[in-house]
Amino acid sequence: MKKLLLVICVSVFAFGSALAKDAELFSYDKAKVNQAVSDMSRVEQMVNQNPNISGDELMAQGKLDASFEANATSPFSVMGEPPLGIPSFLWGCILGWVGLLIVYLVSEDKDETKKALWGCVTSTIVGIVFYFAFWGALFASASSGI
Amino acid sequence: MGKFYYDRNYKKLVYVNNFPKKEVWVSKDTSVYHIVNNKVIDRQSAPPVAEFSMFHLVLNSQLSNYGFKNTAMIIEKVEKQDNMVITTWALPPKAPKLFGKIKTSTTNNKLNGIVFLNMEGKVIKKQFFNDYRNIGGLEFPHEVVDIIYINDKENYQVTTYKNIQIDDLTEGNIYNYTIPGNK
Repeated sequence: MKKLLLVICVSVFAFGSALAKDAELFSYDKAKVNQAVSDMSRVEQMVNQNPNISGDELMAQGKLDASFEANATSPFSVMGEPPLGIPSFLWGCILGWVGLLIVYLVSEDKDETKKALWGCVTSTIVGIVFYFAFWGALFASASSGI
Repeated sequence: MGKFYYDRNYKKLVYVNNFPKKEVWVSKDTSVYHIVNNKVIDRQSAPPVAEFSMFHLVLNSQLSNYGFKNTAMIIEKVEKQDNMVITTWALPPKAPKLFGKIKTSTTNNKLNGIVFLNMEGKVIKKQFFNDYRNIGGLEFPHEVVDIIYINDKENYQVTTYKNIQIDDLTEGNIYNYTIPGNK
């Protein structure tokens, strides 16, 4: 009986831990994020004061350094070239979560996916592998799902 | 910095960027066009998923599930924690295992965030939707925070939306942006 109670206690504790872990996934350090993008906020203020100014002009004035453009247009440039030359920022906005996954799939260490996708692009048979590998996964079995 | 235009009837998403470069990006059907000085300088094929854009989902009051209900993704688990409802989505059993589970959280039917896990259950990306405001009867998040994990380091992207207008009639033509014919 004691063993049973112990198992139940351990199970409840483990279950509770799992729940806590899931909830924690949905929190982040807002101050840290704000600090990280504070330079961008400063640029935003400059542009709001002069809406017609370009990034090149601000660089010429010494108000931006050369790394700004890459960071501004593709903040995740550390992942390499953005998929299909489309800034990852737009992938998220235009294609929602699907776009975010595309960025991951072709930017993460998935050489086969990347090669297949780029191979399709360069040979103009765009998207075939993509559709098979990705859309097939999501939509082909839609009738059996939700 | 720029403006997005989206009409759910055209399913054409237009992004007019003013800074740091003046350029236009248009997503329509299976193509994404990059236009500079009214000339298409690049056209790329992309999946026809306008229905997954945040704009489309907001206009159709579907942002709370982020469009997952329109896919074959399976709800594996739903649980309530604190004031959040957390849903775990998984690929169908027969689908290729390209990525891991995805978790979404909602509060009062508003999407708080989404967490992407890899096959090993490690977080690869988080996205948070903040500062919801009611525009024309629709709840629109005015801030989207992306956190992506690369080599265990967090990278951030914050997108803020301002001056959101619903049923804007003053710039009608741009919603059905005509792609310049020459490339």
